[in-house]
Amino acid sequence: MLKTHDLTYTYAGNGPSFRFPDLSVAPAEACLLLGPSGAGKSTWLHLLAGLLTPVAGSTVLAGTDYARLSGGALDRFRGRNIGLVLQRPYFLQALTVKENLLIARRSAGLAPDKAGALHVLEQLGIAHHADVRPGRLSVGEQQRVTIARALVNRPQLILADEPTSALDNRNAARVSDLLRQRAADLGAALVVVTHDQRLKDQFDAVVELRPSTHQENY
Amino acid sequence: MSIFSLALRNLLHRPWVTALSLILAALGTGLISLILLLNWQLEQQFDRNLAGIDLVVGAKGSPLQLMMSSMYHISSPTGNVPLDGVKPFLNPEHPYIELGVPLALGDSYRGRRIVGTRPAFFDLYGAELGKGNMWTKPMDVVAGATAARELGLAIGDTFQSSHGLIEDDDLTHRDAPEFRITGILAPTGTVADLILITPAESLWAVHDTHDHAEESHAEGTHYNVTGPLSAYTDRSITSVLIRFRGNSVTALNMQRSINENTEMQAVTPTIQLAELFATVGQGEKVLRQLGYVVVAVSVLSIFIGLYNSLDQRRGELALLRSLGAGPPKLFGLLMLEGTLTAIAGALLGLMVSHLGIAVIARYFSETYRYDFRALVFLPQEWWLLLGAGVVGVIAAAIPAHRASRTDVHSTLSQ
Repeated sequence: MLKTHDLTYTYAGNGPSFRFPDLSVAPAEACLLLGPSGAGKSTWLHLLAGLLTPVAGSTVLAGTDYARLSGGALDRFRGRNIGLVLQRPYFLQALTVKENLLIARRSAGLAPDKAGALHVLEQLGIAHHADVRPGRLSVGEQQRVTIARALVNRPQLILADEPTSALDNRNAARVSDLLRQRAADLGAALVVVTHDQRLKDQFDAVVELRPSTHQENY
Repeated sequence: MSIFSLALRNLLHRPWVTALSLILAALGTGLISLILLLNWQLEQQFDRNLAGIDLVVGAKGSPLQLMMSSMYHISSPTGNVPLDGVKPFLNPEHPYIELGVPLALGDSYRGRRIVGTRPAFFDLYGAELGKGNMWTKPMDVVAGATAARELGLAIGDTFQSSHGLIEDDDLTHRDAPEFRITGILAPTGTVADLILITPAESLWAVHDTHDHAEESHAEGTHYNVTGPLSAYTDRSITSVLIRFRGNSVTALNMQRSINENTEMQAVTPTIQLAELFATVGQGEKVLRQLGYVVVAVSVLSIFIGLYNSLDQRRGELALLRSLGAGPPKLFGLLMLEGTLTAIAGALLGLMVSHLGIAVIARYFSETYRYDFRALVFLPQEWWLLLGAGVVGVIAAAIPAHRASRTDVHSTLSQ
């Protein structure tokens, strides 16, 4: 269960200031955060991911307000409880697909689980690429590896940043299905941040951001 | 997938950059350790064979040559001195001299020097018979352990000597009597292992036949090898090795008096060695400094390699942060990459330098019959490894610090 309240962020200096709508996403539920560029989508996502610390407000996941955590405790919490599907295909290029998943477990301080990693890759239909370096895969395959990595630690919250922006209609729908299905299987809350209007109809809960530096409460 | 193996994989992912840093680190440490090893080996060899010898008395000429030929059996002798002139040093009742060992040099067998002497020679190097018997007549030979092994000599074997130290058929004394092996020494770890030892009279006998081939006593039957050498007159030997009783003032006085008042020269080995090492030390110093310069370049190479990789790896580092790896982990990752390169390079360098020593040892044992130990590991080499670690830490410090401060938000928002 993800709950946010009064989430506010101000960039240092005379930077823009954001106040985000309150969110409440139950386990196995999905929520779409929709908005154009410049509406503060990345900022919101990174606040939810615990990569930025809000100026005010709370982000509570499974009873922990991780907006209050910092340093190593926050890193550990993020690694174990939040699965990030990044917009860009960032990988550890020196490692194979499987090892990229294993390093995700390692970084979160979890025990290595090769069988689990392979299982996730199988579910996403890329098990045959387990021993290939991610740089050799197609864009679509890389996207799946990114999703697999977000799932491998069995997180309580899955955050996806523009997961479909580079894909055509058919693939966009498939990726969105895949995300919702896997999140539901894990019982994780899913939050997708996008400007991709195509996804609007596929999600029950949709929060739209207006293109302004100040957001009001919904 | 530990941080350690990730660091290793990252290094292997950039093979050329890593190889360059590795080679530079190897070159630097290799050079320094090669110098350390050579130095150690030389001093070992020279010091071990010092055998408490305080003075070498022989013909005038290069003092270094006299010492080298009489104590280390490397170069040719400076010439001969009349036996009458050195008789006092061979007197066991001499008040200042504990041990005087006469040497008659000049011949060799297949590159191994034949040393004509008296049994006092064995006392000097603490040598004992391993097999066979002591000599009883001229031309009897007791072989050093290494010499016997490498020449394949067994008791009862005979051979003819050749003139000088070089293995050359034309120089063989073909009409001279044959040497015969009567005993083989137990290994001593000194120069005594490397030579063939015989009564001084044997060398006279070889050259007797040269000069007066028709004379009937060619076999040297008129020689008494068990008596003192001072019983002879009109003979010459090459040099005398002297060990004093008491203090070194005596030594200095005796040396000066020999050098000033006789046609011979007296050399103090320790002083000669110190001079030799000082000369060699100059070249060694230059090489060592060159080694330090290469090490400094390797620091730079590791630093540049890591620093450059930061730009390409910003996304990877941000990703690791987002996966739960804290700043200390990123710092450690880069540190590991730096120190791993430096230490692996140092290990490579040590391997190469030991290989180099092995090659040099082969050359030395073929040319001078001296055995170098290639597998010795000096305590200083541990310090070299430690130093390599420090080098890695220094080179990686700044890149590692920068990596630990990766701004995840701004990197991932791009």
